[in-house]
Amino acid sequence: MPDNRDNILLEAKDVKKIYGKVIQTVALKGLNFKLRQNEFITLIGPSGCGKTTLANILGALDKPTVGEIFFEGKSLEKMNQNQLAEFRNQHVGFIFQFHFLLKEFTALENVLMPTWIKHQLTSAKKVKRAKELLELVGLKERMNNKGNNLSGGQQQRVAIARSLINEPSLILADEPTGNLDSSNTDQVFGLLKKINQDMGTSFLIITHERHIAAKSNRVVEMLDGEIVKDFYNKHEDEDKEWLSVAPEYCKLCQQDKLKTVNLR
Amino acid sequence: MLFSLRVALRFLIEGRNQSLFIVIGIAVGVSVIIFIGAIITSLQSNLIEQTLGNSAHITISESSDIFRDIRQVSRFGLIESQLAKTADFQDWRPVLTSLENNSYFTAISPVLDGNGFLVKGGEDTSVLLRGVELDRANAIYQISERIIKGSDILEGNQIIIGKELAEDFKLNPGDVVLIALANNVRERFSIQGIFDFENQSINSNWIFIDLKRAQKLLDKEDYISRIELQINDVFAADRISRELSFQLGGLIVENWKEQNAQLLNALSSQSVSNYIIQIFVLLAVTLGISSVLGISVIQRSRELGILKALGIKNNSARMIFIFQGAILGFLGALSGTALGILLINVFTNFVSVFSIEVQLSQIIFIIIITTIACIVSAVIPANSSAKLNPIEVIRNA
Repeated sequence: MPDNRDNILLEAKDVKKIYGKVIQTVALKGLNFKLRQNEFITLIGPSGCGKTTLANILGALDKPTVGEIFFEGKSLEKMNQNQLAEFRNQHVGFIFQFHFLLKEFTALENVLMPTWIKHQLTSAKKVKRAKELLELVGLKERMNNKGNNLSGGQQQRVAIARSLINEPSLILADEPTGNLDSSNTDQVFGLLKKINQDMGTSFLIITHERHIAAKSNRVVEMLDGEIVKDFYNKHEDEDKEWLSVAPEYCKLCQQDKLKTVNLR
Repeated sequence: MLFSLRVALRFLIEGRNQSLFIVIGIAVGVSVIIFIGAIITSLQSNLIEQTLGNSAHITISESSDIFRDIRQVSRFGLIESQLAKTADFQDWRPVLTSLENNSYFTAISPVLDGNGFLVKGGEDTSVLLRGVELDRANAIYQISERIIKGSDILEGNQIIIGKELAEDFKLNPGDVVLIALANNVRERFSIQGIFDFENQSINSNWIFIDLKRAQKLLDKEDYISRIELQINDVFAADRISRELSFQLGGLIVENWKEQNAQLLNALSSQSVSNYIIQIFVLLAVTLGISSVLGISVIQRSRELGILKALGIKNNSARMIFIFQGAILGFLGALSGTALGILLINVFTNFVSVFSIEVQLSQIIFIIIITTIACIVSAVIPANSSAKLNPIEVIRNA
């Protein structure tokens, strides 16, 4: 088994986030978090515990009040707004709870959007890739539909295809199935898992659905701006390995007798 | 840039009703600018044509030593009116040659004026005998084109008189009249032609005669009263006359602007009011676009948030709105031009008595200015789109 510590993609160090100047709300209380390549993580916790804030900070959409984010060992702190925009465009794919397509553009154009931002022009290769991705999400026939001519589940699947087009190393998904019915939910999750396995893309998925969390290989639980549980599902090896990375969380896990967990 | 243009175009096309309203708004404004501009410019050029068409723009004459002295005194506010009086001008031929080498002048005509009385059947009237070289005078007065009876030949004692004078004394081409000149010379002249300058005072007063003959009759051989000049750009008359005055030393150079200060004053205040109207219309158009684009930033904040999350840079976000302003402004200016020209055609066909000309250069200028104004008006909305924080949008979805 390779040393996973060399494969750390994203790291949050002592990250605090405080909103408001007069009345201050502490959203994150100084947490540490490491995300490795090829991981499929679900982030769970009650509403308002700071999941979305953490995801936004990890994806460079937001800046931490205190602490630093490292991507492949490089700090994002010193990047200016343009560099951060470039970082988001090239390394991170976002899937939001509200599918967020540009309704003025077709499904295919929405998928191509990140490549337009990156290259200004569309290459035939990218168009082919976009069509493949739409096929992957089962929407090849709808590629010329405008954003508002697609159902919620279809829009979400277009957003997934869009998040993949620039081949980012990380996809941040904030309740990607929050607005979908259960059959669509399973379909979308199956898709994300498949992409993770086939392409080696790392995922951090915020969800409220525990049965979804059970399907991921690492579960992080947050409460009141802190990570309270962080554990691997099923495999003893990974658990041991995790002990060397984050012993304090493992202790917590052991106390809670969650050494191996099947959330169902 | 290309990406921003693409998004701008799509936003405009997808919000086509809104885009259409803005374009119509700009078009109405631009058509007013073009219409008013064209009417006022044409009105002015009509006025100037009427005032200056048949007169000299610049005259050059000799000043005597006495008048030069008065001129110096007049700097202190004395005897201004005597300045107009000039002496006879003898060394005019070299001046004429040097003027001919200058491309400013469309007409150069030496003139010798003399006063006299036309006498017929016991009645008389004062006339101004104007000795001219017909070809040169034609360039200013178009005498030959204005002959309504007879011919335009000026030789010996042949004269051309005005319409009113001919009517008052019942004169026809071929008739002979007696003119008493100021130097007690009485001479008979044969009427060759009758002109109509559409100006009563000229028509009843002026008599054209050959320059050489006039010099002989008035005992002023080789003398002229002044050289009359016309130029292409009538408004450059003061500048050119200053240059001439500098070149020609002691000669008196006068231009129409000095003599028509009141008209000029009226014209320039008319121009100012024209500019004020145009500027305010443009300002209204600009503010309108700015507010509509400002609203559209708010309307599109969701889309902008997504684009920012996907990694567009602030400048690209800004350019989306700058492009929208530019496209709307350009389309509005183009359709406004069409509307303006339509209005002008309707006006000339049904209302106006004078012809209205639209200058291409003016239209191009208005289109450019409007487009620039619309780009400027997009700056504030564009900046607010650049400032938009994607987190706000995503959080408030």
